[in-house]
Amino acid sequence: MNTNSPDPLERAIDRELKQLPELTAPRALATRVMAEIHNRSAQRERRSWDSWSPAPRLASLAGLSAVFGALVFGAWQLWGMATVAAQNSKVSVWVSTANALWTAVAALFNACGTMLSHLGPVTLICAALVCAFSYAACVGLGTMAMRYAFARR
Amino acid sequence: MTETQQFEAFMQNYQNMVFSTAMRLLAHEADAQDVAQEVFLRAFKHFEELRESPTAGGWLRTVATNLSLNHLSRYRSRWRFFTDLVSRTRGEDDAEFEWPAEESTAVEFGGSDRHELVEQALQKLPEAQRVPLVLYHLEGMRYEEIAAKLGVSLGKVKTDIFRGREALRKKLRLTLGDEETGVRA
Repeated sequence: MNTNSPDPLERAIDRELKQLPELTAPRALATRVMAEIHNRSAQRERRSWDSWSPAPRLASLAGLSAVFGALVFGAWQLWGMATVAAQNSKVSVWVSTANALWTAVAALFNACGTMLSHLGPVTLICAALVCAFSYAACVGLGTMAMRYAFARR
Repeated sequence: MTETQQFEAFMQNYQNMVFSTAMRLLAHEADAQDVAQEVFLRAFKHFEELRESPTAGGWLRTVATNLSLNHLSRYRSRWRFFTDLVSRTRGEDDAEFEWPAEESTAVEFGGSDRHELVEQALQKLPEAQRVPLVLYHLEGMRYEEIAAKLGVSLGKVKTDIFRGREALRKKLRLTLGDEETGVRA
């Protein structure tokens, strides 16, 4: 297209530019690219299960199902081998521990409720406003810091 | 041979072409390396198709051109403003060139030296002239395609290419031979 132009300058420039040999790429280029490829493939191996391709997902699902089945079967076998008395004593220990925890948590909530009932509504509203303001300040400062940190040039 | 090794061999075949394309558009080695790296990372994603494709070179060249133009577009408004300002304040577009004396140029430059001279002249052109000139002469695009790619008017593309050729003509007049004589006549 350019070589048939009636403009001699266009033809001359076209010829000069097309005669240019390719520039030699720096040696570092290939090293950089391969390093980045290795880096990305390593990241890909660490990516989440739901982003895997279907074949590895199915294989891993089958494997994990087999492991889970073996664990359940083993636990069932162990359970059957244990004596009922021993199991009963263990259950009673678990129940008493859970009961003590529940009592402690309930006492804590009761104490909070009592404290709040003694505070006036004005105090509660002020506290809520302080909390909201603190939250908004944190979000705003965090947003500013992120924008500053990731701003280009 | 693993896929990575095959890709490395593939890259060795095309890296000069990709780097040259980016370098001639960007005229900045670090930026050209960044663009070439991105081109090959994209090529690696499509390596299954590109491995045996006879058009792999064309694909790489197109991606290199597009990524280089994307890179430039970040600064386009700035250089458009700048070149407009320069063209208003200067009669010549190439006042920043520094070249050897004409006599020594005529004697010394030939073969690879001349290529180096042309390469330097091209890279020292203002972006507004170099980019459309490279797209027209080296990438084989038409004026309309260049205008659409760069988002500028057809008239501006023609003017910039004309100015770029004139700037090159002035600096390479000793190596253009008979064609250049014809221009002067």
